[in-house]
Amino acid sequence: MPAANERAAKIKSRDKRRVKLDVRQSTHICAIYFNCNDRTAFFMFVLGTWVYLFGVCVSLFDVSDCALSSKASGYSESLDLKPLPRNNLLASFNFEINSDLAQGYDLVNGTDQPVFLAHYGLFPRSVGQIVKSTQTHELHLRFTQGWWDSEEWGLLPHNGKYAGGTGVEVWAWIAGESYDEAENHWYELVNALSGLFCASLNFVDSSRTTPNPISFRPDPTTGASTLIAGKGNVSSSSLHLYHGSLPRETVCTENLTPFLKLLPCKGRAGISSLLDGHRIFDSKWQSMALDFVPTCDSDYRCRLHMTQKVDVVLDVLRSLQRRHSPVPKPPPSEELQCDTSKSYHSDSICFPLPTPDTVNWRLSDVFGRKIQNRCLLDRASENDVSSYSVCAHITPDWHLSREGGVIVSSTSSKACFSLLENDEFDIGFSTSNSASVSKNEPPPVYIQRSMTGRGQQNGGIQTIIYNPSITDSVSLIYFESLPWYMKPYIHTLAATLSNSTTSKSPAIKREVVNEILYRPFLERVRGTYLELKLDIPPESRLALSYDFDKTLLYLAEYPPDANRGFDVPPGILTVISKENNVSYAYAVRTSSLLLSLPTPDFSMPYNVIILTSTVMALAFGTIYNILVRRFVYEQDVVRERIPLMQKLRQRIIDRFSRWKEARAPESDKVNPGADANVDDSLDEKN
Amino acid sequence: MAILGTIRRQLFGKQGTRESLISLLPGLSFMLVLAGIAWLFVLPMQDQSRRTYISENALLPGQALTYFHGSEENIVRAFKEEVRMLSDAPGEERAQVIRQWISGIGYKSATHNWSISHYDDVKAGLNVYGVLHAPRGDTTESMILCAPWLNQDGELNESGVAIAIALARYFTRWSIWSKDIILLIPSDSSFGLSKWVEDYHYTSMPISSGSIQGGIVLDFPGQGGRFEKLEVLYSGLNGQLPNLDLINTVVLICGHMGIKVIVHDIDASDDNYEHRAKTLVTGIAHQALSGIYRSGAGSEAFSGWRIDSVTLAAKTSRDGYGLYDHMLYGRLIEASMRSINNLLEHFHQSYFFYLLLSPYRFVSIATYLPSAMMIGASFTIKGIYYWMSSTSTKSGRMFDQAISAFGLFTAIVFFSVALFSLSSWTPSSMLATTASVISTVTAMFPIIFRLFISPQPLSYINKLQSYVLVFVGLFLTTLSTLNFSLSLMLGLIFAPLAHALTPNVNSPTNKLMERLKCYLAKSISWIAIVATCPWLDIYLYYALVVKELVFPRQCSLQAFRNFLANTSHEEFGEFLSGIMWSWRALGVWSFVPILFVVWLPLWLVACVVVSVRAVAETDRPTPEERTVTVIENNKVHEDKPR
Repeated sequence: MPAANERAAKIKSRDKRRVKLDVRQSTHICAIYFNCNDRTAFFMFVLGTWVYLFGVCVSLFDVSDCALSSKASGYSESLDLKPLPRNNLLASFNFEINSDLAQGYDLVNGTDQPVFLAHYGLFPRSVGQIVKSTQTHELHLRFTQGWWDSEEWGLLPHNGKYAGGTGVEVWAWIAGESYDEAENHWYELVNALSGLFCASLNFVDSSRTTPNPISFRPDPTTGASTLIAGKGNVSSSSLHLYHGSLPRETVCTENLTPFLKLLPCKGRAGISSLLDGHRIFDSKWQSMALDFVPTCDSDYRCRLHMTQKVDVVLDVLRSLQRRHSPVPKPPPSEELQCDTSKSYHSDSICFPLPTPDTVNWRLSDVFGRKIQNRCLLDRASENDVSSYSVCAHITPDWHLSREGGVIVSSTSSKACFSLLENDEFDIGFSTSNSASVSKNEPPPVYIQRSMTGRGQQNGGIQTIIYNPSITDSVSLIYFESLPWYMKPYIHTLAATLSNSTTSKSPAIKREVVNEILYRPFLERVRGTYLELKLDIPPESRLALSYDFDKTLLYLAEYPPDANRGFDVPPGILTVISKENNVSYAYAVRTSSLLLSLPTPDFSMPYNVIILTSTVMALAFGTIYNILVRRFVYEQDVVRERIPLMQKLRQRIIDRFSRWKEARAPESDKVNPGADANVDDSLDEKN
Repeated sequence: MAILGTIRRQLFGKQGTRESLISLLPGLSFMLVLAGIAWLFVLPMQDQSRRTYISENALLPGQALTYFHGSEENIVRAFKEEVRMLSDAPGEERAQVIRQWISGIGYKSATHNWSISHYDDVKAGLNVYGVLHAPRGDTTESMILCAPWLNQDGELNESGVAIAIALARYFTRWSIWSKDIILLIPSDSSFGLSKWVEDYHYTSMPISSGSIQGGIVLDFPGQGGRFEKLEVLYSGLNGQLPNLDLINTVVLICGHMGIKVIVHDIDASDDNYEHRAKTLVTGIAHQALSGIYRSGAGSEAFSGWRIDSVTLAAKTSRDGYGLYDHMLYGRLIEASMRSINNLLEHFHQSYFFYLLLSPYRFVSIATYLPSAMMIGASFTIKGIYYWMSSTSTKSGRMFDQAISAFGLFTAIVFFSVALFSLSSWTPSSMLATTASVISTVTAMFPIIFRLFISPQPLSYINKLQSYVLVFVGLFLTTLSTLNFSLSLMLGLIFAPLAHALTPNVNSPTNKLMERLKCYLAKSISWIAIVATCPWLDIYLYYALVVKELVFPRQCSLQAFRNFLANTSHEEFGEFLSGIMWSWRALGVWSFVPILFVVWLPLWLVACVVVSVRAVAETDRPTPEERTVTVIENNKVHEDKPR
């Protein structure tokens, strides 16, 4: 048996090698065609891809497999537009790419090597390779910015599944024989992603990593857990979950560009052509998500599924204003929308109406351009309109007008359009009552977190979770990871429940808090991890609070802008679904907090260095002088300057004395040349 | 050693070195007080101060164009009309209407109900505030735009509130904000505002934002919408000041816009010594008395929370006319908010300890601190002098004296602290009565001391003085680093108690001159005691500064009676309760606690010194001392023949 297995593995690896070669050629062609940036070239590329895919299918699987694969391995994109109150617009871009079907994990041998990434079709190779080399089974990456107004806008898009906390958030399931191995893979992964997405993900080190938080256990029906559940051979102990977040990271165009590059049409055709950095980042809230999840069927044939989502809330009026002027110059007084019912109303006095109700704008006004073309990669899906759709969710008060494209479906609350090839697409929105929008469901909970206390020594954190439901209680998990320089006192953790009838009932920790998972911090190694399982009764407000101490850091540990404060990552609230009690129904993040630590006066070390250096220089100079210079008394120098007569006399005396010595019997051997030498030396001296 | 001996002989003659040095101390101490005062008046000289400058590069004051003009004025006018219509409305209704406006312009709005009470004395109000979440921000940082409904003089802040709301509306159209904007309309500029700030940092507010980086308080009463000059009010509580960069930013923007700007209500348009000195002294007085002087301007409510803020008060001339209009004021606020918005870090780059001499000149702590330090040190030196001079002879009785003097000192401090807690528990309505009882009782103290404390040796009195002076010296020097102005002011008030007191010793001789001298010294002591009596000083402060009465010029009973009649019992009680409230609600520790824990003990000890009969040591010499005297006499005799 082992021999047969070996042989099978060998054949497999040979296949892999061949396929790899093909892929390289294909991507090479693709690059050339894209550089040409020509429509025909693009078409050629699409055709080439298709032919290539077909070839691959034939070479790997039988025909039936190929048919299945071509259908599901396609690419689909969609855009949902939804006007929100106060002339805001929620635009949800959704891109999905499936990898080709492949034989699943090598479960038989018990090694958790993902082998299905044998070749890349539309699937971005850059991500695929990273994921493969780091043995990542599931990856989630979020870039979020802004503030979601859940009171007015209701539920987060996709129930918060694709919304991250402020900054960058990443979590992944990673295989590893040991914990250390998996952890090393995790750091490799974040470093690689850092390069790929131009984000500071490489700063996700041990102090910013939380292993195995229960808030991120995946849905049992999808993702890595299907691998675990599917065969049982992939033990959950060999898969490790890591979570890291960078609340400080500012999301900007340098993150959007690589994000778009992963798409097959790279932001040049289809709905992704709307994604212009200037407009996306001038939004009230935006979140970019990249999810990378394997799905396996009952035969353990797996498919990698990549979802890319961009959700953005735009202020329509502000975007429209850009057309006239980049700065909000006051409008001419005739254009002001005034409340004429006021008694004092006149030409020069105008009480403004809250927001204009009559609006008329086009998609291209808000995004600055029309949707170009259609990202058609697949002739077979040319007539499949569902995978290239733009839908508007409106109320009957709104009137839509279309430019280009075709109508797919139209009801009073939703209208869907399909894009056409070689076509520009635009929708016009107009209404006389912009406040009338299709209501989002209210979120199951509201959360607000704030810093309390004064001074630089200690402080507190207070989190308020409100369950607005009249009838149902909510069970949820609240996750917090704190940096190590925040030293919380868990004994001060207090849960206070209050509702409309009873004002406040303190010390009910046991009834509300079911479970506390807590890992204390280690200075400079890891931060605090705190997870609470809570049950909040209907119409109640739970206030969680605890105190913490602030730390004085080492000088080198302060960032260059230490006086700004230190960002504390957002708390994550996950509502557990009532039905199966395992999967998660809703997730929401708090905003990040700014922690001000005691900060030294950084100019002081500088001053000290300057001062000590000056003193050192002065002292050194003096001592060096004393040590190196030869000091001679002035008198000595003067004395050596002997007058000529005296010199002559001295010579005569010297000669005489030598002559005397020479005459002495023992000085016979004296060399006569020695006399001259002595004279010379005397001359030199003088 | 021989050289040292020569020097000693040259300097001190026949006296011992120790005695000679000790005898120098009182003079040194007194000189330090004079030097401290002199130092203060050197500061306003041209070369002693520096021109202000922007230290934080990020601020870029006045660099951005402002667009709050044109049709925005129509909106300001409308809000002014609305504010005027609401001026008589009850708090609840007013808050609801304002909240509607704030929500209407797209802010998240909420009301904040506050009340503070002390027995039956209840202060309450309703603040309204709204948060504009920064379009691209993440609610970690915020800045405050605050317009109290009533300004510090209790006037309706009509233009201020209208401009704040119109500006807030205008701000929603910008997408440049990196920090949330909190629009805050507190019911008053003092307790309402400070309660809001406190609750923002301690309890759960319905709407919250991130940490507040800076704030601007608008104060523009009146309907006219024109102003003559702009006063920048910046004093915080307990001697805290906002970062100098914030003031410089506002002043610089005013300069760009051509607005005349003043500080401490002193028009220093020509930059001369007199104006600078006046500004300096007024600034010191405002800083020392902040929270007590008058109800707060608004910006001081943020001090202590690491929020730098200033109040920009538009000053109108009497006839309501002024060179500048409300839109210019609005653009000034806009530009200031833009500058705060530019900050990448919290205000930290420039000075937190400074004294302004004019809007454009300042002295930093290194330059001005010696003044208060010297005055503080003079107390310590005088205390050391008393200690040294009372321990010149070695005997066991000295130790007993030291202990018993310390006991008396401790008792006096405990008594003062007891009075402190008594006054904190007193209901506001009873304060005036309690104050008169306490002041009568303390006025009786000199007599009580005279009657009930038996005559004490002089060294005992000296030890007592030494304790209290060292205590005060330590306190003042420490305080000077926290609240320079208060330390300086207290130092000057306390100085007579250190230098003008003469113990109550019977005149040793019958010579007329000696007796006259003695009586003069005694009367000076009593004048010092009366002049530094805390109760009298508080009353005079109230009458002369708060009520702005004129002290009677001629010395007739009638004039004094008239003077007293102008200050009613109830009003004085209100004034006192205001002081107590500033301690209770605003946390101004710089007055009430210091009054009871430092000032009163010092004054009571001074009373003891002046009233208790002291016995000169030579009257009852101890046996050892007597022998010493004898030996010295013998020495004198021996010396004579030579």
